[in-house]
Amino acid sequence: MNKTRYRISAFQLFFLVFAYVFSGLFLFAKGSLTATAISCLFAAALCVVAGCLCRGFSSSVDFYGAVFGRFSDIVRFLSLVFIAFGGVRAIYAFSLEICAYYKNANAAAVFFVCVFLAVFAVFRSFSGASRFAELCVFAVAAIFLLCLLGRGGNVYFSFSAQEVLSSFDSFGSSAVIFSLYLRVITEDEAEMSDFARNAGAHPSPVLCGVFGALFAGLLYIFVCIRGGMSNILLLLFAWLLCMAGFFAGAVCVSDVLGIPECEKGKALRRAMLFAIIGTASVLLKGAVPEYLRAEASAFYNVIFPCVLFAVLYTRERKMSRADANK
Amino acid sequence: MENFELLKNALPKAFSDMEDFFSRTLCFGKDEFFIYYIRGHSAGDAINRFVIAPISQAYLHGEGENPIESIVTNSGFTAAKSFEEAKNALLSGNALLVFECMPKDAFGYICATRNETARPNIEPETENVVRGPHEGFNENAQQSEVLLRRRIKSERLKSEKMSLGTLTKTDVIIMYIDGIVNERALYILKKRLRTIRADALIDSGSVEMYISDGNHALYPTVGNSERPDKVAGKILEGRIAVIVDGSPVVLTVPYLFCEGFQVSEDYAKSSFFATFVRSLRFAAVLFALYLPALFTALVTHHMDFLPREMADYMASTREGMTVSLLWEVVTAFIIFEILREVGLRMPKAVGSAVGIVGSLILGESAVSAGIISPFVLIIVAFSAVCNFICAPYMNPNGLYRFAVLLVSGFTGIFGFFAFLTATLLAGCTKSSFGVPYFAPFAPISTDGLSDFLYMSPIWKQKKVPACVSGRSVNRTEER
Repeated sequence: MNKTRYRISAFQLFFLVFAYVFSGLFLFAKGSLTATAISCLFAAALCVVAGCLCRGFSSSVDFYGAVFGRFSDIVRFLSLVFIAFGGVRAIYAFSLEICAYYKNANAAAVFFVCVFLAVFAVFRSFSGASRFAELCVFAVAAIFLLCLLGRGGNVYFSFSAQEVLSSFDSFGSSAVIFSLYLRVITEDEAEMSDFARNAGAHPSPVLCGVFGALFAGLLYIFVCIRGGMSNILLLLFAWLLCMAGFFAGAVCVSDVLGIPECEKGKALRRAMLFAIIGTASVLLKGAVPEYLRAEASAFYNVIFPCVLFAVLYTRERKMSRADANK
Repeated sequence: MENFELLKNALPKAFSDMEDFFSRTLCFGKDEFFIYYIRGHSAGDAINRFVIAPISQAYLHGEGENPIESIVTNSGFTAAKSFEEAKNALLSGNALLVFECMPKDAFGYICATRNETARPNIEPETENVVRGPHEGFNENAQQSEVLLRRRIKSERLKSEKMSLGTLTKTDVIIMYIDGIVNERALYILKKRLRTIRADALIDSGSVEMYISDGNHALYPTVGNSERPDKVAGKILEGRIAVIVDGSPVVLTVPYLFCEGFQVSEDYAKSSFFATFVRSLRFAAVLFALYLPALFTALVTHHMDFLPREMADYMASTREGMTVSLLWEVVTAFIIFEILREVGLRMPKAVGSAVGIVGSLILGESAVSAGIISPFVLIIVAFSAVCNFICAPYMNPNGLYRFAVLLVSGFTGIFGFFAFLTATLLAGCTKSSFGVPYFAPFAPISTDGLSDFLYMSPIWKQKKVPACVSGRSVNRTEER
């Protein structure tokens, strides 16, 4: 198994985080400054935490196994459920967004095309997904230029419980950020190819993630203020960024399931598991009340990194005490 | 002795029924010399001056006992190690000297007398420049090799020769700079060349088909050029040149997508103008590929998103049209492609007349008959003209444009978007001899970006682009 095909560089991490955060804001923030600010700041903070905690690990399987031991499978399954719910919900909202521009549209067809593209992007390596995210800089430049031609738009500010919860809606799942950081390859790792090593700068992954999250928020606010959402061309480029965000989710699903490191038969079974969870999330979408789902998502996104940090901190304390006693 | 008898009997048999196969016998007492060659393919004058005359003079002056290597004054005089080598040497235009007192392991002596007359090195018609050298490669591989050696006077410029094609035995020379070359690409290239199992390789285009990445790639992963300055520039960046005897087109690998937008003349202009022109090329290619499809999708499925005045005008031009917009655009493109192909294949005098007839009369008549609207004609013509700005992608762009047009016409803006995403994804997973196809943009290579859309001044490009060579090599030495 060629592990370098399943790693991403710091630049790619920047674009993937950027696209992931922007896609969430585009689909769910609806011009809310509160949701935008909280989402971006939370994402940036998570990038700092993930950057520190995930150092030295190359995949979720390694990381969760090292941190949670025999409970790693349960934690991975939980992460998978939340990533799947968030991802499916985002693609569904995206399908409805596109169908709004058609007289007789089929949201299911759009949904399955997006899912197919996301699976195709990570099918044999992460390179397609991560390089596509890098290409989205053209989309950003185009969005910026088109917005300059736009008229004034609507943004609003309201600090209510509803807005705070919807910010977590925009953000998605914190496990995604951890997954991306686990797949980042740095200069000091032997797995890095000569191409990547000599290609130029190797910025800090933490800074890349932080700036990616913040720039996503800035771009979204700029687009809202300039009233760009009525421009079909601008929407096209925004949709490209959304697809890059879905690809980031697909990378994380593969990582959490440990699919790249599996043998073929096992990889297929894990993909089937994800498909079942995805289907269940589609069916449950209507059954679970919106507020309950949003609260569960917010709870998970905040508690998950805290638990990770607590477990690692406790373990380090124990180890340092054991060393001191020796 | 054995080899002598073998060659004396086997060579005439092997080359029987070849009216241009000749043998010349020289007798000096008991010593006999046989010179075999193919008339026209070997230069008769060279055989006379550098083989026959020296041997005759040696015997005349009583120096016939000297080693044959000292007698024959031909610079490429070597012993053949096998019968096959001797035969191939004859077929390559060399002469073969055979005599009784040859060493036991020699199968005759090869004399380099190949007839090297070839077409002069004139500028290629398809790669004109205003400022720059006006010479090009020709069909002689050795002369092409010399053109590169004149530009890169370094012992690190290595060349390796191999013979491909069981019938044609075409000489293929690969050239690269040791210390800069992409080692992985070199390994992949050699492996692919060695695995070619073909009886005939007439042109570099055939070799290109065999060594390209992917079975049915639309966009090329092997570069080609007839300009020595361009190929030399590419070798200096870590690429490998493949010279095929019989073809003036030299291949270069790896080949990245961004190379289609680079022209050697850019390096002779100011960096501001070069950047402007490259951005113009890039924008033109985008218009060529996507403008007709986007136009068709918007007008057919999403008319309400166009500005009101434009929508009203479009609606008025569509009145009385006999075909739908999609088929109108497709028809216009098909007519254009037919006219272009006819203009290429016809003799120049007729071709220009056909172009005038097609563009003026057919176009005018089609609008009058209500088959094509003026707006569509403008879009199609503009897109077609934009396509010519990037010569390497002219043909693939034509096909890609049809595909995206059909998808957008049937499915609207989402179809356009999904097709765009799928093709970009496919491009992102593509590589050329191990190098990502969209490098230096995806994955980002900061030193390679200085020579992509934005062109930094040549004195500022201090490193060889690592996205091609995979190495960190400085262009300029510290003084």
